[in-house]
Amino acid sequence: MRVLGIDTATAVGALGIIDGSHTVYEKSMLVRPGGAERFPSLIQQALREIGWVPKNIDLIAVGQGPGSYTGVRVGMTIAKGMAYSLSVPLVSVSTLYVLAANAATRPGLICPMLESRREEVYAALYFRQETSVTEVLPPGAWLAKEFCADLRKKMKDTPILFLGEGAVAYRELILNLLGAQAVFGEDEENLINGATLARLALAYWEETGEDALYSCQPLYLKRTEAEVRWAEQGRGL
Amino acid sequence: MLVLGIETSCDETSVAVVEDGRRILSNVILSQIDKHAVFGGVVPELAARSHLEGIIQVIDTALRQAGVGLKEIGLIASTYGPGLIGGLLVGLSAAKAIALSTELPFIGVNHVEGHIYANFLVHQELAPPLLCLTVSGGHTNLIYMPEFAKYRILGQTRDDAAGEAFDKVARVLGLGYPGGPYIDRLAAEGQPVIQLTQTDALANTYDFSFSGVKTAVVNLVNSYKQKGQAIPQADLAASFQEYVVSTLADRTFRAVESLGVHKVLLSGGVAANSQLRARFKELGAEKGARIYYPPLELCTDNAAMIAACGYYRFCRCGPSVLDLPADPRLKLI
Ligand SMILES: [Zn+2]
Repeated sequence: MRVLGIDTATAVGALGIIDGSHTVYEKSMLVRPGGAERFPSLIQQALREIGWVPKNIDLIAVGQGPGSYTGVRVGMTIAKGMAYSLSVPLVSVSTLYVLAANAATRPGLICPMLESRREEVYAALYFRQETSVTEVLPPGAWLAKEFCADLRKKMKDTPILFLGEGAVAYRELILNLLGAQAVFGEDEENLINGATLARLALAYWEETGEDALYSCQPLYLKRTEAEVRWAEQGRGL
Repeated sequence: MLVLGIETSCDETSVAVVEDGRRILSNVILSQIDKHAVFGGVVPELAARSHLEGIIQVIDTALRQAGVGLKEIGLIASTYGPGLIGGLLVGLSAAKAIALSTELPFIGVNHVEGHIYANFLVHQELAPPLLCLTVSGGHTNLIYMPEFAKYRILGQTRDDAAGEAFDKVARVLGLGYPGGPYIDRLAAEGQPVIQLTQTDALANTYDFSFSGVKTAVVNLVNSYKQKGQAIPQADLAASFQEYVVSTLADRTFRAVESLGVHKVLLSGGVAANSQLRARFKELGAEKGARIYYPPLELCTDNAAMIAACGYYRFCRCGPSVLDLPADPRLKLI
């Protein structure tokens, strides 16, 4: 199957195209914060570059965040629009899970981390054993400091591999709280990879056959401020 | 040519199929009013989320109702501004994705220009030169259109949009949201006997200001409450509405006289106001101008007007680039 993968949850957008187990195209590019509106023309360029027409695509894969609300929304809208128009299935994958998959050859605990606002990060915790990856902690929004202190308490001295722009930005804080227990990814390992996303989605599609065209939504992980204000008034939505 | 139009600039997710800019095959509108009503106004993040939740279903419904597939469509049109950025990006990205996948041309449409075209969908013989007054919760514009694709903004609001003032006054009077229809009904039971503002500081311009009159209503209501007096709800509604309607009429009919234009188009949600329509008809008859307004579902935000406008723009200027960014403050040129 030929799969197009797009992720626009972070400031570095990812585009990847695979044909079965073969990577045909992969590219990361800086996108204006929250604005991935150039992606349709980038996809068009990518297809031209590899000599494909849109109809050649059999499956669309999209990163569902967490990340920039607007960024994820734009990527997901493009993915849905394309899947609908091409009459092909859509699979969404957590952006943090895609990031964790970068460490394909490293067994043990993996903590993908993305920057949220202020002192917050989006993070999850996975455990890799040979080819299987299990979720230890689902994606969440945390205060970076509390999250790292918590990891230290719960994971004792087990080494943890930190990946992603959040791990780069909070490297010092992580080292202060976790010391030698913290291991860091290198260059490319910190970037979301579109072809990896496509591969994960393909595996999921082959296993479940679930088309998420109508059902998938971004992982927002935080309530909108208006909803928060409303809840604080003591009247839930 | 069949045009698929998409509109998501505020709180309506709308998709339409329109033939040659004049004939509506479908015009599906998914309103979010109920979701925002508890907040008394549109919450941008909530609006953007709702647009994404509904967009594919609305596209599919519009095509089904029109009885066509994407294969029969010749052009994809979408609003790209002005409006709320989060919402704009959903409609625009969906339109680009469809255009990219189907290899159809894509065109970005100015939402304010789109409102003018709502009238072309129901008045087949309509052509410029004309004046268009667009009044809604988002805009208050008096536009002169001497010929197709040429516009001059004669006047606009210096503060609140007319519909926004209706919403705020309705809220302070304890009425529902959106405020327009509630004020309209209540005003019919009262008399415009309450003096709300002193002088019209913009009397020599074509511009509008509605925040002063809104504040006057708020202050009056507060002082009635403080004194423990009953609030003359109906008279307040009637007085407020009279101010808005007479200001809109003053600017518009001064323009009718000075430009010698004989066609006046009304559009936007406030164009559904019964007193506004009655006053414009009356003054139109007096000053020799014909008044046009669309049915209610084309007054408020809808994708049929975007498809119609997109068709005319495409015929003249060709498609937009697929890179076209959304512009929340897009100007009408
Ligand atoms: Zn509008």
